Amino acid sequence: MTLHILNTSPSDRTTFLSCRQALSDEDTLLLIEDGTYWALPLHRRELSHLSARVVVLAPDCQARGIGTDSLNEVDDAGFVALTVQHTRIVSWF
Amino acid sequence: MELIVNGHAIALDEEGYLYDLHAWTPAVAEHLAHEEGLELTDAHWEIIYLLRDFYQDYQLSPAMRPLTKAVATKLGQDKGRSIYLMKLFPGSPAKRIARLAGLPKPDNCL
Amino acid sequence: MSQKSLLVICRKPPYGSSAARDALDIALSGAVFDLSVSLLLLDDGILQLLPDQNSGKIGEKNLNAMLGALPLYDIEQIYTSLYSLSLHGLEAERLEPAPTVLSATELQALINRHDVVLTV
Repeated sequence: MTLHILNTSPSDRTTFLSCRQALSDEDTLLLIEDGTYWALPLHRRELSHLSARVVVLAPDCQARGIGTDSLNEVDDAGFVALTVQHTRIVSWF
Repeated sequence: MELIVNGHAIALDEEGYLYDLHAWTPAVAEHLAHEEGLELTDAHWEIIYLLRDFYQDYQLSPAMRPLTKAVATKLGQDKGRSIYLMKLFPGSPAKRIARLAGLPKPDNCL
Repeated sequence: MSQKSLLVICRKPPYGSSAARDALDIALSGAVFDLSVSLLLLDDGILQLLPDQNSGKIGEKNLNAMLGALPLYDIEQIYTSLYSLSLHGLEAERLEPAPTVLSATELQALINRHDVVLTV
């Protein structure tokens, strides 16, 4: 069980596509910093195609004015909990 | 620090390694070895040249394990042992050979 | 104690930043400390494997030559993905050292069999 952390915006498709390839079904994808722009309506569809669980970091969404409705969200404490719950962490930047 | 070899000044860093790798000649190695109280034999030279070739190929100054592996590959298993290199260059062979061969201090050296 | 396995991932090309060199240094240090190390070069990271690099022209050490030393550090394979090859229109046989090419499923398996993953 791996936690993948993505912090790049949708304009950097390569990072997202590479990360998507590396996602197993039981993994979690956490979107932080500019990665939270993947939660914009246009990009949501690509997220919904993932079989891995997708989580957004709420403060980073709020800071950027991105709505998180119907997405799994965590606060900073939840972020820490995720890192503890997973066996390993892979960062995509 | 510097070393005077045949009238030429060779600059050394604070740990005694050559600043300019191109300044190396066999005479430089002789001088450095003499300072350390080491008498260079054919067995020493073959290792020194092997390390210079290694650096030429890989641009790395190897730590002990890759060094012994390279020696084993090029000169055979009998010589590709740390005990053999320890006898020739007592102390820290990887560091001593690198210094005598005019190479930088080994990366990732324990 | 069983030795820990470390996967180093690098997605950056050589020379433009220190990332590629840093990844290599971490991999070599891990190997010297007896970790079982694998190197995964993805996306622009695969550009480290282009042959005929002559980095002396820009006053840099040849990173590609250094990658050739990995087997001496018991790092036997360099991995990449099919996607990374297609991204730059490259063929694995033309790269040096020739990488082991992974599908998406194999990529997931590689990540999941390592204890620690470090992206540089």
